[in-house]
Amino acid sequence: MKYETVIGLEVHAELATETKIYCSCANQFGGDTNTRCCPVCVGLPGSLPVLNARVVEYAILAGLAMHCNIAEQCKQDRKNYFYPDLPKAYQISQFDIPLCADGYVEIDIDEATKRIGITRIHIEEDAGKLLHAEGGNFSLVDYNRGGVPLIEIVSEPDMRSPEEAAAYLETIKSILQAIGVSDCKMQEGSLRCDINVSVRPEGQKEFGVRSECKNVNSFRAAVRAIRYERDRQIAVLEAGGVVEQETRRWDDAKGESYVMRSKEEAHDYRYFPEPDLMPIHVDAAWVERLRKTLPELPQEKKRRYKSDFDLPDYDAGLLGASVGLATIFEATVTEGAKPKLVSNWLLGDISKILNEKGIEATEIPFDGKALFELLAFIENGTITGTIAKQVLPKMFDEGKSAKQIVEEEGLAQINDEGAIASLIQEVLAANEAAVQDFRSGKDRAIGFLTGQVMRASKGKANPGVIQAKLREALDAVK
Amino acid sequence: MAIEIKEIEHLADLARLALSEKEKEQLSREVGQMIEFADKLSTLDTTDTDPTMFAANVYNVFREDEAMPSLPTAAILQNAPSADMECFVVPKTVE
Amino acid sequence: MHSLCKMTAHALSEKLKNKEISALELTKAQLAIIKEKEPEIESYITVTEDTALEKAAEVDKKLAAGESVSPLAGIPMGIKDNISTKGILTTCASKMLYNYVPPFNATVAEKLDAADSVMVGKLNMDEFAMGSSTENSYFKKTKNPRNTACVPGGSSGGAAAAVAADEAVFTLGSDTGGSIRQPASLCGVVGMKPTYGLVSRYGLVAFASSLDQIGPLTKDVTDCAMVLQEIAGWDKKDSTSLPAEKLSYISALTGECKGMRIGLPREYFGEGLDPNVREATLRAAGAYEKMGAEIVDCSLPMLAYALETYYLISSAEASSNLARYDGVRYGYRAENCKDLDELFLRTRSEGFGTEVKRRIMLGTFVLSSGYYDAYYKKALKTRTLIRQDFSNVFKKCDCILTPTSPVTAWKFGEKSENPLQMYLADLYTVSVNIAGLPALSMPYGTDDGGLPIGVQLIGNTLCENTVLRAAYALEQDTSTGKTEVTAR
Repeated sequence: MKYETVIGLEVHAELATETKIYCSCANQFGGDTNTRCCPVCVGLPGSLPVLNARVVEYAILAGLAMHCNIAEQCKQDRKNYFYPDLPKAYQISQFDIPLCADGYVEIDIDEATKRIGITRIHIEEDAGKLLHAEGGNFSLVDYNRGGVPLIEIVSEPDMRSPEEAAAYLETIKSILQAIGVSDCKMQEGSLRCDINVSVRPEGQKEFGVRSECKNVNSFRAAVRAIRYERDRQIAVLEAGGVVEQETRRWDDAKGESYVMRSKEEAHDYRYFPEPDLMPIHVDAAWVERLRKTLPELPQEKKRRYKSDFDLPDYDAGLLGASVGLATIFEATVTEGAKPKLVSNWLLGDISKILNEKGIEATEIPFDGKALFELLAFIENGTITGTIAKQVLPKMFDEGKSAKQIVEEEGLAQINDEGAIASLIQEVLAANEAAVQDFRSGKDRAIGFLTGQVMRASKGKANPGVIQAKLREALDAVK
Repeated sequence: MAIEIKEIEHLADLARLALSEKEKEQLSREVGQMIEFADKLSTLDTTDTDPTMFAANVYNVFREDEAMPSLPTAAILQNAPSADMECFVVPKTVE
Repeated sequence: MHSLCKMTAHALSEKLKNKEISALELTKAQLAIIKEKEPEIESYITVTEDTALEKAAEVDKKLAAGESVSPLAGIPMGIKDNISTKGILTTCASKMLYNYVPPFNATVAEKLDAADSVMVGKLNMDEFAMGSSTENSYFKKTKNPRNTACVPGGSSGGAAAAVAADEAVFTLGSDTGGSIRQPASLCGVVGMKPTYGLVSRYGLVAFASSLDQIGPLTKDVTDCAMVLQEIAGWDKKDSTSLPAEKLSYISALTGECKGMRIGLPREYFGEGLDPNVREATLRAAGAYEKMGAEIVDCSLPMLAYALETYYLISSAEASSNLARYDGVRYGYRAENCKDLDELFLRTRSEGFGTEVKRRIMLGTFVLSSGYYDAYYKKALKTRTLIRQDFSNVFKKCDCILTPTSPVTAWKFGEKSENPLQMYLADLYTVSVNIAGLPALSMPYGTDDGGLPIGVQLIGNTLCENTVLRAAYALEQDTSTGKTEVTAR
């Protein structure tokens, strides 16, 4: 039988505020344990929360960017459960009235656009971290992350494949980065998700029984976990079994998930309105004021890049989705570079370096002016494309401009015809066999010899000049 | 009306209380008595009544997003029943 | 020197200002009385002798330099042990916090310190403020100074007894369902619960967040106004604190109440009311009438549902507020736990007393899936009706007069067997918390056995001045035969 996979995602994004959600401790990553803590975020008796205004604004911005309705009145609720990383033994969250609801985002999939519904976006506090000592029979608790502001973005069960889920996650990330409310640094855990998966025979209207999968900490893990869960559920059904409604935990190292708790063991969180915090009222004026501050969103950018710069759909989509890439792209084009050339470099060599380094495009250590300088060097013949590919990593690592690197390392292109001609003579002398091949009509030999000349020049010789001079030299020996 | 022992055990589990058999019996009686007492509220017609969720009539109580110094780690840990490596120590967690 | 500590704060303030006494002398006298009386009364959990003497010496310097201007400067006082005091044990009278030393001050502690009053210790109470007799303290049983065979009331039993026994000039208590007013009534002192949000709760260890409020226990109404003046005010650390205009409470104490409309709600004179208490309350009404106030017959029918509503809401919030005591970050931790479950279960079972467990269980029940609507949500709706009840009455009254407690102080152990019996002692006080209103209890005569009787004055939201004005007028009045309350 053929099955359809139904996927809904709950994304938790840490907000990039200065301070935590309910106290004035700094909201940062890393550092020594328990150094960003106070009575409030460690839950000392008698401490009281006070809501960070920026958290509300950031959540509303996210809601607006995802076409949500903003609640005129909402409240915060306590979600009660015991765990050592939860200092008050309740998490302040939002239960029945989220700040934002009923929105959607558009994802690009198979060269088409698909709408994925956003059920709700609510604000809540993060928990601390448990550190497990190797081999020890104890765990350590660090509350630095406790009280870091989160938004939870809950999607409708609108995705039908792991690829759609991946595209959805990329879209959410690009939107949150574009509006500047979250860094979305996966490796710092600032974006995490829970996955709801069910399968149903193709053509069936009713949803199948779903499982929820927790502890998914990267997009790659999300795709793997969805595939795993889809295959597992189909196997259960094929074997004549029944899929249980349960909460599972993804083990990314093992590439499998296991049952955390069954439906019967499901937590009773005993939500109730948080009496220590007053309700939030958002009037139309506030919403409009925030709406005006919304920057251009990824989908809008994509459209503009296609129409204004004549970029292909693929390029425009990728550039538009990344605040970092889009910023440097536009800056470089503004300097006078050809849009498609800039795009090629950004999506090619530069993206490759970002991947290798595991850093975000927003962390590229040089600006559009610097990139333009590099591209202009190629264009005006100062350096060859080959050399440019060597200069680029140095711009990342050494923080120097292309000009500095080219000058310091003597990488400028050799245009001197005499110098190139003498290099050619050396190469011809050393490659008798190739010259012989050329004589016997094998034009391929030209390519080989060109390469050898380029190599002899350490990549600096002007390819045009090599071509012309090589022909001349070969003709002379014919 | 007493609350069933099974129910008492469930509540105790939610509240993380370990109860002796004697305590369970006593609580089943006493909490049951309280609930019975509170059942009087069900005689009140509240169909058109909104719940009062907040004690004071204020809203939008916010704080500016400005960082203030945190407490020194020593002060955070000063009351910890068990601390090591600048952290609180708990028995090994599995979940 | 003993006679000094019998005096009110405002009288002592004069003496300090006139340099008749020094703050150090006064504090030493206060500590001497505590030493003498504590073996019998047991009001205090912690006596802070060293810091008190240091502070007093510091205040004397300031007074000499004319730097200290607060009327509370140099006045010895005590604070209930559920109000956080930096560097000083704050136990909530629970084994759970037997060793807890807060690294921060409650806003009220900060304010009293800034006003240069001298804290001499932390006061006994029912564990986590749950109780009406202070018998639920893990540490000790505070005696009623008027009759040591009797309970002092609760949960601020230590705070009331300390004032009654002259072990402090004034104290701070907390009131969730009557925990200031009821012990004030039983011990024959003045106690006030301000409007919800008038005094910051920051640093008050939460019992029921939407009901808790800190207030003064004092020897007279003037002192009450003076202390309230120092502790009231908006606090950015407490989201529920009210951005109210700062009033002068002392200025409300005019000594007259002509034309004031004082409501006498019928329901507060029903079954279960001690005839002595009824008689005293009606006598107070008579006194008001003689002073030119108008006594208005009124009705608060929702009183019949107040206790139920109170116990559902307060227990629900308490079950959540007390979840943080898990043995991880502070306080008691069960020994030799092999895993996390055992740590949580044993710490909480061994750390909490019977009454606290009872309320946690009740609160967990009312919030649990399947019962939330029938109990918790229902109670929130009833809360709305109780508030409406009061706002209807305040359309035709300025102030409401009732008994504070249906009974006077009872003997130890008398009600502790039956929780419901104990809960009934709060019948007249809980509605005020549910509606968030200000109310004051003041002594008004004694019963046949010579035990103090208290009457309660309830005002509309933020109408502390109306309550204080009415209370002061009654205190000054000598026309009716109210008897002086004295320790046996």
